[in-house]
Amino acid sequence: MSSLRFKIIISTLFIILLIVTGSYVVIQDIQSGIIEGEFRDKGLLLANNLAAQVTTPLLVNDLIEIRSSIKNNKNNYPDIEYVYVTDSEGIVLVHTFENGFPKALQEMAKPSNFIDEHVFNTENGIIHEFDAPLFKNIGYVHVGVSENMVRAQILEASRKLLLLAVSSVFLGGLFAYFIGRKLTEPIEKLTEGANRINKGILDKSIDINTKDELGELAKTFNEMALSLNQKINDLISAKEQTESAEKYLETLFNSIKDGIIVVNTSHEIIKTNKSYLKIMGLGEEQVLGRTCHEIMYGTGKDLKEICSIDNLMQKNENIRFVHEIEVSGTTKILDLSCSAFTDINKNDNIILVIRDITQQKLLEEENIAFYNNIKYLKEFNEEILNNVNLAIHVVDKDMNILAVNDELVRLSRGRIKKEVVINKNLYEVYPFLKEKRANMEYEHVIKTGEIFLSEEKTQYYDEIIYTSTSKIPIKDKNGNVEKIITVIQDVSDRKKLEEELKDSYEELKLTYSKLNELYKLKDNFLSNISHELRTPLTSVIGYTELMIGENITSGQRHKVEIILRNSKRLSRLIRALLDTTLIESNNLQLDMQTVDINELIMLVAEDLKTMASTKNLPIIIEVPHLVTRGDRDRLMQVFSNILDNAIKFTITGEIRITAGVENESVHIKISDTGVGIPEDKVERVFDRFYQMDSSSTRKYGGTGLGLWISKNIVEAHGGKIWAESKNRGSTFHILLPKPVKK
Amino acid sequence: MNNSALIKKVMVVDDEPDTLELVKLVLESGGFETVLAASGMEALASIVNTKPDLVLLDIMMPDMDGWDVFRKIKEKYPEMPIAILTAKAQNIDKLLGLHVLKADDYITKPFGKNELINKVKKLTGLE
Repeated sequence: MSSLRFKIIISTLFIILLIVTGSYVVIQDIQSGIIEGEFRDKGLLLANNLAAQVTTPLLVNDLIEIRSSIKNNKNNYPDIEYVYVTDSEGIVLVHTFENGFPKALQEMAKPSNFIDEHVFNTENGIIHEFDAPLFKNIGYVHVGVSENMVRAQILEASRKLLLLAVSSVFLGGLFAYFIGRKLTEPIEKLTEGANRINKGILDKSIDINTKDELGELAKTFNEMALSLNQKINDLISAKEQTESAEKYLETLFNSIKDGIIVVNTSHEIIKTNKSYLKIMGLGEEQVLGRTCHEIMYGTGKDLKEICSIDNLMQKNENIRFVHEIEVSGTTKILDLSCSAFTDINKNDNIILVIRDITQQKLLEEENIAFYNNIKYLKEFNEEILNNVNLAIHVVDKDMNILAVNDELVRLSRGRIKKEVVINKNLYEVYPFLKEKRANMEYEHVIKTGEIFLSEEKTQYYDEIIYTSTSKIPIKDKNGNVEKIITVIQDVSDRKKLEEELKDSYEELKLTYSKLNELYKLKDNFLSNISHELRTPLTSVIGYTELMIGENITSGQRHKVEIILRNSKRLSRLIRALLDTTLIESNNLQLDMQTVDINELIMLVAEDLKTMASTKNLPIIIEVPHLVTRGDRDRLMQVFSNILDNAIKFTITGEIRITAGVENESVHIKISDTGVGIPEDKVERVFDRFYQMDSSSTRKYGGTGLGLWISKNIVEAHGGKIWAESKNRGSTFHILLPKPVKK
Repeated sequence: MNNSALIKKVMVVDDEPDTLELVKLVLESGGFETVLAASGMEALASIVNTKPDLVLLDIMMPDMDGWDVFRKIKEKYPEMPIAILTAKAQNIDKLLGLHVLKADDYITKPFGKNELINKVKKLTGLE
């Protein structure tokens, strides 16, 4: 219960109680006065009525009549306690007391004590005695009336009044309650509303629709809440906007490529973005709180004067400068831009925007270098253009000359002047070009955009010149030909040279074909001569061999053997000569057939065993039957060559021939215990005409062709041949591919 | 007749008399009977009567080339073995002889005594 309502009810109730109590007291007083007055009037009237009734009887002294009148009255008015009548002397003539006239009243009965009313207490309550004189004071009537009846009346009235008062108070209380409620309800609503506003609930209005001041107040209150709500909403949205702007700024601050720092008046960095840290290669803790010049110029020096910030603060203008700084070993060029600003706390701050322009500077330098290079190239081009021995002119697509070079002037033998021909039509300057159909060539170039190359013989003024011309189109960005560069080379000299060359060439060609013929002739000759040589040699060898088989003396035998040996040697020489021709003319053809390496080796060894046995050299053959494909005679020639060499270069020891299959190849090794081959010459023994030294030629003979031919034969088989020697003894390896069995 | 079965008869055709005699001597030392012909014509004439077991044929001969003789003999006696005995040692000749004309062997001059005897033995089926 609100205290205001309580107060209003209590005060209203109090006032009502006061009024009711006051009214009650006054009304009761008035009422009891009225009742008492009525009582007195009635008593006096009763007494006077009785006095009138008894006057006559008294005159006649009829006491009985008096008595009966009294008795009648007393019966009619039960209030009457007693009645008595006295004479003029105060002697009691008649009375209604049953137990005799009370002594207490005797005094009052006397006429001297006569008053209208006596009040006195008896054991039966308060008695009012009203006295009335008879006619001519012959007697007095005294009527005693009990107050009890009146008292009861008053009490009754009082009770009614009290009931009325209590009901009044009750009704008043109700009234007070309703008044209080009626009065305080809007106030409570207002209070509630105020509380709501206090709590921030602004979207509920106060429901008072009265047209009094409270209604007005509530209306104002509601409007106030509404506008407050609007303002709060505005504030929230403004706050959100500010926050968003702050976030945006923060993001911008950190994501911008330029380094940004904020410094205070003491030059201390109070804020930095990530880019600045990246540029400087520092952590945030290394930057914040330090002075900007300390970071920019280095520690340990009081460089505050260098820093232009104070200056900037005073003048309040933006400054910009370039500063070089060493960051972890590399020089960085920074572009600094500073501006002053005052923050919300009225602190003067400086914002420094630091841009790393190292790359940009480098690029600028490169650009300058590039530009210089281009300038140089341009000059160089012009230099070339004017000093090259090519005549050049440039025309636009309408054949107007745009540029010519010095050589063109020279080519015209000075007839064309640079200044004069520029902007003139090409055909106007060279009228003969149209006769030469050059115009069609230019049209072709413009139409197709292709380079046109031509050679022409021109009656150039009074001399004939040969020229080689290139018409080169220059296209615009759309691919259309906008210019044509014509490069003319005076090839008159070259033409002359060509003619001469042509003659020489023909001569050479003739010589070459003659030589070729001769070469063929040589081959044929060699082939024929070898045949011619062989035929007599066949007889020499054959008959000598027959003689050895015959019964001749040992002296003769020795001589015949020498003849045979030399004949065989001659035979080998002839064969080597022929083979050389074949190899040289790429005519070494192989007769491939299945061969048994063992068989070939045995045949070769058989042939050479006489030669080995004269030197007491055993030939040890450890060759299994290895079947492969090859040219039987040619392979025998190879083995024979190597074995012959081995015997030739070995004085003592042995010759060993082994063979086996390795990696699908037949590997034949022919080892000797001879003089060996020096390490640096081991690879050269297969060279054509190679001899270890001139002395060995004399000592061992040979053409120097044997190993070379052998190498060619083995390689024609797709195989490999090589030698191995450690000064003492050599091993010749032959690797022949073994065909895969199908 | 028994002799002809044991002793093989070899016809030698060569325009060079020295060579003819040499081959004769060598083959006789190897136990063969020889029939000599100094030209292709002679060879073709005598082959009808002599019926040799093997013909040793020179290539470079005047009048009739050895290849012609070869073809003519093979026409009549396709089974008769013919070995070329020549001083032409170039491989092309050898390939031609062995593979195109299907000569039974190709022996180059100068030849070794034993080499010739061995080859002839092989060609006459003695080995």
